[in-house]
Amino acid sequence: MSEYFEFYNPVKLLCGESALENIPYELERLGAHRPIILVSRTMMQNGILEMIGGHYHAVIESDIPKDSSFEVVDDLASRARVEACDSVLAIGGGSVLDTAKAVRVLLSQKKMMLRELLGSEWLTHGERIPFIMVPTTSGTGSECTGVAVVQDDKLKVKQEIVSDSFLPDVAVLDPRCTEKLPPKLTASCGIDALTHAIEAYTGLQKNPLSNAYAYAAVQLIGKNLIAAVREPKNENYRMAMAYASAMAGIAFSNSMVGVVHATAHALGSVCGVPHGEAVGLMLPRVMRWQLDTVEQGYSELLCAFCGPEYYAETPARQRGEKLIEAIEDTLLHLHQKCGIPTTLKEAGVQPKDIRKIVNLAANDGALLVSPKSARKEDIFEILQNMK
Amino acid sequence: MEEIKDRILKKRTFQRKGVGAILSVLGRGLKVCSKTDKLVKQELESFPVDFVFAVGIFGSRHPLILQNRVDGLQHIHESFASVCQKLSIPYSLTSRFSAGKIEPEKMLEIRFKSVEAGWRMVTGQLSAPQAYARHDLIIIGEISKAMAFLRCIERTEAYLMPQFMLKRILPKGEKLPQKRLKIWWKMLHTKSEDNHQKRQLKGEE
Repeated sequence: MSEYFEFYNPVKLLCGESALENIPYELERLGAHRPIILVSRTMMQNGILEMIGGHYHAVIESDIPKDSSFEVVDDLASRARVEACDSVLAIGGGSVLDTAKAVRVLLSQKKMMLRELLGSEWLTHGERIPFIMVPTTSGTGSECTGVAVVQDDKLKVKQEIVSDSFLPDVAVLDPRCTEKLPPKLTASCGIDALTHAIEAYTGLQKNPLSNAYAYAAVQLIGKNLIAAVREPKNENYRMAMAYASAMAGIAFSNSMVGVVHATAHALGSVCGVPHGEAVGLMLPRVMRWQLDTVEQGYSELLCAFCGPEYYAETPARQRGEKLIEAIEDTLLHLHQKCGIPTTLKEAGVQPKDIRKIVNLAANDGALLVSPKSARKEDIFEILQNMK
Repeated sequence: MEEIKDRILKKRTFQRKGVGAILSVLGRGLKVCSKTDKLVKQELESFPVDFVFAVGIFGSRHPLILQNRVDGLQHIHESFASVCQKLSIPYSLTSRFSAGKIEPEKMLEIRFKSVEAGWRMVTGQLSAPQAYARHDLIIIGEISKAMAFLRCIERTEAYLMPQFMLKRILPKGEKLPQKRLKIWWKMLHTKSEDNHQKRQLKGEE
């Protein structure tokens, strides 16, 4: 059967110096007059709203918890409705951006509860609500993805919702947004972006277009991640990571992620391990587990991650394994430099939690497109072997 | 020209009927597996009692409807609208394919985007992950619940499909814990029970 794929990304990207200052124009262009601004408290204290400027009448909300729940999203959407907001501007990390996506979709679909919209690819085009996103970390790629992850407090799991309606009209990548990011966060977010790209490149849903973005993202991360952690003031390294994150986001929005993310979501839900650290823990282990199935893809990515000279020097049969070793070296370096965990114990995971993690991971949507079918026993074995 | 159009329409009608018939067989298979297969039983235990599953083609008003009861899955021989009404989910004809307002705690709906997409999956040409990767499936409800239900469907398909198709459906190295003939035998027995239930329903009307 011939290959079939879908690719969609209508996001306008504003990148580089003074990008923030163009937001008032973009809001005007999109016909937004009264946006609800969801902004992380730190960014507000750093004066980001003053940098953006403009003369619109906005409703500002900076009290957004880490991993927003359905209730938080529903409340924010009803506040936006009461205040007659006609658009959404989100400024923050993954949690703020995912919350904003969910709020925008609730407004656009004219629904009161996010729970009603659970599912994959079934939402119709609702009312047009202009939506601008400003990521302040370089990792989630949320500004370019059609997926939102929201915490379900009732079931104690992270629920994924998949729909093109989550994509914003405009995403803004400005170097000032990441200049005060602590090195540990730069490291864990960078590893998250790397994982997005690698899983997108090897997943069942991969296609030539998503592969192009994923490959370019791995290339940028290979060149700039350690440098961005070492020299946080260097704008070039930070922007390279921001582009890589956005490209990895475009790639995985059209190709999805896999076992690493399924287990990382469960590690986050059960033990509260931060997402970037959880994917860092899982990435090399899962890569080794599925090496036999995706060796060709990993071989190709070795060239992107370590450069063409190293790729040419490495015998063809060893390239997949060498990519895993290079990633392990990078993680070890980041562990020594800024303390990202490399073992379950360091991440605060207790042996008694493993069964629960396995059960949650087995029902994560990310497993559907995993290149190697992962059963509960497989996930259990991976986790057992990494103690 | 007319001949080509006619051939396309005939093929689609055949496939639509085929999907309906195979889904009906699958429903019976699921019903049997919910009582006899360990994996299917375990998966269904995570669903609340009276939870409803609907599987069908986008736009079709008569999908396969199953309900999770204490004694295993039951095939519901009623229209989708009537099931929605019983679950007090407003059924909206304008939304055509879905209940309009979803209550994921009560219901999960899986729809094939087209007749061809349904045909590819129910005839075993594609596994559920392959169909999802091709964007053939629409999931309305919790994705985590869909994952569990799709595993039940795959296990049941593995019992029902001919041996040479198992490779595509079963994960590498996995073997079926029961004889396929046994499941087919029990299904035939279930069919007579179903017919009895249908007759009873008609009688009530």
